[in-house]
Amino acid sequence: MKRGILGVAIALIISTIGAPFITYADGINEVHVNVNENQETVGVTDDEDYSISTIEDVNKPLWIHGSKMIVAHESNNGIKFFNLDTNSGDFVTFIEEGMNVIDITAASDGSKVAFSTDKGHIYTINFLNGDISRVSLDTSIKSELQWSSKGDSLYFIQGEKSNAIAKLNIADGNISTVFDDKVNYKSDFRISEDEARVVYAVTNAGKAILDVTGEIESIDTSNTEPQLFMVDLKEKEPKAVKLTETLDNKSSVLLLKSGQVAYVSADMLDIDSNISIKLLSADGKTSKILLGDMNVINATLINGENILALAMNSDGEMGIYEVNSNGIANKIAEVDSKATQLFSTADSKNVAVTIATEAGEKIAILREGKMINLTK
Amino acid sequence: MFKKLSAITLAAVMLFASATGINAGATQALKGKIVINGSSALLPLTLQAAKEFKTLHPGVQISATASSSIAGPQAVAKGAAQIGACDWDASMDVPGFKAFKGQVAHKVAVIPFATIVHKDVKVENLTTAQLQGIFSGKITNWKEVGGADAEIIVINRAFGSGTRVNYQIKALEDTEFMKSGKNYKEVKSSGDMFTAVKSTPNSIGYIDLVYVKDGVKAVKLNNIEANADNIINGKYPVWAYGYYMTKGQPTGATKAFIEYLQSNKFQQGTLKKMNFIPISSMKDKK
Repeated sequence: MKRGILGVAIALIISTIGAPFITYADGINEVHVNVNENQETVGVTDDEDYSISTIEDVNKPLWIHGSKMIVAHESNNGIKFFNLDTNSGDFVTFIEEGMNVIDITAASDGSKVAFSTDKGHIYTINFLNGDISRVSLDTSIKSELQWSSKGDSLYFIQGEKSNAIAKLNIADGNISTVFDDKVNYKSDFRISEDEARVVYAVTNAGKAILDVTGEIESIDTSNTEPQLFMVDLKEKEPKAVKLTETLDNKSSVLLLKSGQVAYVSADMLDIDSNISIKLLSADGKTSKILLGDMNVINATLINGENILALAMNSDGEMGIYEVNSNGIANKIAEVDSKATQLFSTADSKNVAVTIATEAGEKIAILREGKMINLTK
Repeated sequence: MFKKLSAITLAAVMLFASATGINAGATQALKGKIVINGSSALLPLTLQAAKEFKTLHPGVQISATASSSIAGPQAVAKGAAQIGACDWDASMDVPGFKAFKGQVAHKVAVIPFATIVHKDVKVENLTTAQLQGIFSGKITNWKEVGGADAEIIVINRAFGSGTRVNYQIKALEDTEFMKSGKNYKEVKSSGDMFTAVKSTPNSIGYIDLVYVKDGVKAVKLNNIEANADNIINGKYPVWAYGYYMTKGQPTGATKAFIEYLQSNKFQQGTLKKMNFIPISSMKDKK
């Protein structure tokens, strides 16, 4: 989206600590973006106090190109984002608190990111050429931002009731509705690599049952379990096809290249049963269990077809496991038992986990089969 | 056109204070169901939080229902829900409602409320006196407040709504609502309020800011716009804390879920995106 000439002001501001950074101000938002041109050593001192290992309480690791990582730190002042160099161990502040940036998502090749503000405005940053662009001033609520595989669009769930799946064209900022059947509370949405299919979960609200006085008597929670739906966007009139009717809790929904759908499944009727991965056929008619002997925390898709999972075995040991659709599992690494979430690039070359600490969370990355703590 | 970033080397050095967060090591094995009932204003927030919480704790299933704030602590008192979402602190007396003894109130959000009108109403601002007149039935035509010559249709929330309680106190300064009339209608939820105002020409109502979108228009109060900045700086008075009520102190999954909503991770992220205000932004304000 091109900016008008009017209303644009770009200021070079000297920061309070003496090093300059760029302020991008277009009369609508002001965003401070600090990026080193070469994405190389970004610290200004060799003093070890300035290394990544001193950063405390960061989460949401987002791999970008060149083994760099964007991470978030939340405080009462807002969210600050850092750009970490996982090779050199240095970092810079990427986006300051007070800029009201809420979400950041990276394209699959890590060359660019899109971020949204608290008002729903969308910006992109290209790390290869340093371009920063305001793409949209649309203020609708946008959840689960995802780049298309081609890197030319952003998909998201739109609206405060999460009813529509929408697409933002990066080139012209146009937002179009991809699918809206007026069913509310969609979540866990995934777009296929060829943008021909979407899968998502719907969680219905319960019903309050009133007594004769009009007071609450009970809550009917039947049919409030999340259920999965698939939509073929190539159809003339796309319709949501229900894939599941089961009562299990469903999270970490993944859409494989083959069209199969996988998710982390927790049996809510058997409190002692393991939390496993369930793999559904493309039409939802058949399913099988993967990592059935583990307690899976969350999972992500790698290489289009395989699943990387954070899981705990029966001895209480946490690990990262790669499993294919045939159920063959391979342990990749042992992980701290307080690990909370797994993050990976699509090609699985860069893997990170967040780990709970007294201060909040820290990040560890996978290097040569071992997890290395990156932050404090 | 795109703006180029120049080659700037930065010296940003920060060490951080700790933030709130749950100790996931103690809660990874969390499993169970949480039932949440009450405020329709808080429902969108509850569902977003539930989705995020599920990624970290796949064994916790959260069912949410919304009707009105009073139903939240009622459901907790009856044992029908673990959490009652309420737009006031139901452990204390408020006008019209007695305290629910034994329940603990947990602040989870600051809810901004806005006066809304049908999109074709040609009024952009209303004073406190004008709102009091309209909602009490004393002002009945838009021309009396600078609009077109058309009868005002008043849409109100039903008794038991926290949005209604807060609007009456904060916007109408305790003025009594009209109770009936040919141009008076009551609705049960925030969603119903939006639909009613959107579809009823010449109507006026009020709603929490997250629900304001195309189809209705938010009007200023005393020339002050309803937005987060004006609430934080004290210029706009129509807001309330949203609470999760529990029977005594919560434990297990319920405790962990409430702590997640109260964490900076959620408050500064999703909560802001949903047009709520973090509880930390209001500091000592009531």
